[in-house]
Amino acid sequence: VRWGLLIDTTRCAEGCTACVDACNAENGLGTPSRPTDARWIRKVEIRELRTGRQASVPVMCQHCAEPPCVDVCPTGASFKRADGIVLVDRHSCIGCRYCMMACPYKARSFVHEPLHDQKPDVPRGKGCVESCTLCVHRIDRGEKLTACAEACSAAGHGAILFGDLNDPGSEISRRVREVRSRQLRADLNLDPGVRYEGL
Amino acid sequence: MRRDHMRFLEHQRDATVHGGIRGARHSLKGCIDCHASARTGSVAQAPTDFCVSCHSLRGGEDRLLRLPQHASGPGPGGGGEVSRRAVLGAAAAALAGVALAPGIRLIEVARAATVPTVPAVQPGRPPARGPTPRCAGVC
Repeated sequence: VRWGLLIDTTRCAEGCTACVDACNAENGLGTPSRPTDARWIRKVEIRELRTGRQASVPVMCQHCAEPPCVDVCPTGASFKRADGIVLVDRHSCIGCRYCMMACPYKARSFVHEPLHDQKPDVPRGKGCVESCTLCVHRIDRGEKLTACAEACSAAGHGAILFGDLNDPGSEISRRVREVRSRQLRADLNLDPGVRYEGL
Repeated sequence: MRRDHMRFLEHQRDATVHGGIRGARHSLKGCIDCHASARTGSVAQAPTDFCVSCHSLRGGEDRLLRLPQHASGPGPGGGGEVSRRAVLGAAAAALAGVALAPGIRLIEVARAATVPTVPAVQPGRPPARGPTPRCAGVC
């Protein structure tokens, strides 16, 4: 099993924040107000200078097969699960933020302030680094849909497809096989589990 | 169980976080669903609630008691702050090469770091221009 996402940037609507809002609600992040507040998904607007072509891309933890955050973590708090999900063990994280420096996607956030109104499924803590968990609590329950993918479908875009990249019969494997998709910064050879279509 | 529950919970915690095992036997939410008081719906709000009934006697701050699962009781809902102080303290102690257990040693380390290392000025002589004062080796 290797969980991953396939994001169709041609369907991702500019200005739509359904996935970001769903992620915030699912994981109890609240609405970020300060620049330092935790963001597990960011909507990045990109524009090709020569042609002016624009695209809107949700960027979250890319769940690399060779995660640099795991390489640099001094306490072993950053780790990769057997199913490919990269997580932070908050019980071991000392908040050194080395992983934030190492991540080429700037996918991680540090919790600076005391937290309130947390979700029982997503315990968080001040002084810890955190990032997208690929809705690991849902996956462990047996659900096959992340909050962002669910919200994207509900918003009528269907730009985010979640599934098992190692299962040749899964929808995501079929799409990855048939459609040209790419990984962000593929030159770094990190083999991210999140792929982008139409970039 | 009463004596060793912290080891048990820690083992289950690692099984959950690293192995993704969240069945009824490994679920902290599951423990709390049964042990929560019928009156407050929590294990840590009132002094008679399940966890607090023992932990208030111990007098120490238990970071587990601040977990959202404890504060919210059964079902989804709000919670408290997860205190990182205990973990940070232990980690800082490990980094400083001090025994893991008591917080008192940590304070001693912190005090030792504040002892001035500037050479004392002798009366009647110009101030010594020795090497620049450095910290006690903690940084």
